[in-house]
Amino acid sequence: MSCENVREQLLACETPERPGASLSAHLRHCPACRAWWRRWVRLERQLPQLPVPVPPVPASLFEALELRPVHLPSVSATPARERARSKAALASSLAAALLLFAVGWWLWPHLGDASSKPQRSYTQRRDAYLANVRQPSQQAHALLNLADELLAEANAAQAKTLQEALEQLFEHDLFTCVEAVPVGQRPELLHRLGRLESRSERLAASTRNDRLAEALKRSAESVRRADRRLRQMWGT
Amino acid sequence: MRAVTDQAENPSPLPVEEARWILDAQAGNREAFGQLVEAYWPRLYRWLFQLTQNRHVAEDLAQDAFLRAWEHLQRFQPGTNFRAWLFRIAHNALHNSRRGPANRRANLPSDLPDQEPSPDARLLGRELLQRLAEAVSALPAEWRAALLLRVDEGLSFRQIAEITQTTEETARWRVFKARQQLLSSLDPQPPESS
Repeated sequence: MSCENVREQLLACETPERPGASLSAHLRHCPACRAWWRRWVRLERQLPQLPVPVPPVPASLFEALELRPVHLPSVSATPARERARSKAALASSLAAALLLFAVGWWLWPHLGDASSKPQRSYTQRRDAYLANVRQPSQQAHALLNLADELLAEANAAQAKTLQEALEQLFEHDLFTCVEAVPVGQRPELLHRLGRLESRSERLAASTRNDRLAEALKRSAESVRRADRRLRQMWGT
Repeated sequence: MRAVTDQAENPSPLPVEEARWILDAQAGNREAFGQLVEAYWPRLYRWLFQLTQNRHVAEDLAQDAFLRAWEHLQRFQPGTNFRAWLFRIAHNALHNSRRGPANRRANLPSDLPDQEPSPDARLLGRELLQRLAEAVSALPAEWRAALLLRVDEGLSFRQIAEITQTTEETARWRVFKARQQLLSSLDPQPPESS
């Protein structure tokens, strides 16, 4: 086996520090390859030493997890035939529900004041997010969790709704609780605002839908304005 | 999401309680899932940071990965490799986030690590580590992802293939190419042969 061949095989090894029998035999008899191999293994061992500043787990992640529903395994003791029957029933119900949904979707713009309905839906969600939190900083984090959630659901069909919801959140609702946030907890909130802004911008850049991109850019501007206002208010 | 099978060597073993945390979390215990988050956050963040070179994006992606893992925890098969399963979720999140042109940007100076080097890093020499970091960040993303999973995480080619959704041979080839390119950028002397 040539030296070049041996070195290529070593580079393709899962564990180059423990080469197989034929490669080891070559390394025992070839000082040039042995030196090369030792240098390479030393180099690879340095990779995990590369400095990466790891931040602590953000409190917002735990808060978001608190708000996510628990998904438990479905336990069923029903016999197979009955399960098949209920599956068929479920399929028909789903089909009916889909049909109703489609009709509802078509009718939606023709029913009353369309612009106020999505707003009500945001308000309901906001109230649900704030239902069990009392501390101002928890309320602020809950609102930012909702913003995260809204961005995760961003889609072209509801671009306008998303923009309006985020504008209300960042320009009004957030300011109902932030004044009383203790000084020590303010940097975490500002940090989250920074992340939400960059996330909105990233999403805006990655979507091919112009309407959604515009809504996301405007949302990013709302976040920026909220950030500036907060810094002025807190004197940071 | 398929369950990722087989166990590879692990350079930094995780607590023995891991299996218990997974079972408890699957039963709906958020605190147990919180323990998994604490245990895996540093390694997942580290990997994502090295792939994105941006701390905010890495943090977002790591958070998304944990939230998705919580949502889909019932699909995880106890006894298989949780780390590989979690990294696969993170890889999907990274892949989705890279669809936009704005995310294919080069490294930003403000995103470079600015913390004090560890005692190990001091011993190895700042200059060498800096060169190594630059060489790693110059690797094509998929080669870098595969190499770091192999070297930092000690995952097998098979597990890397499952995480990055490719074949075992492609995973091996990516690690091979990454090593070859690293060598040529760090050790440019032509190989002596006997």
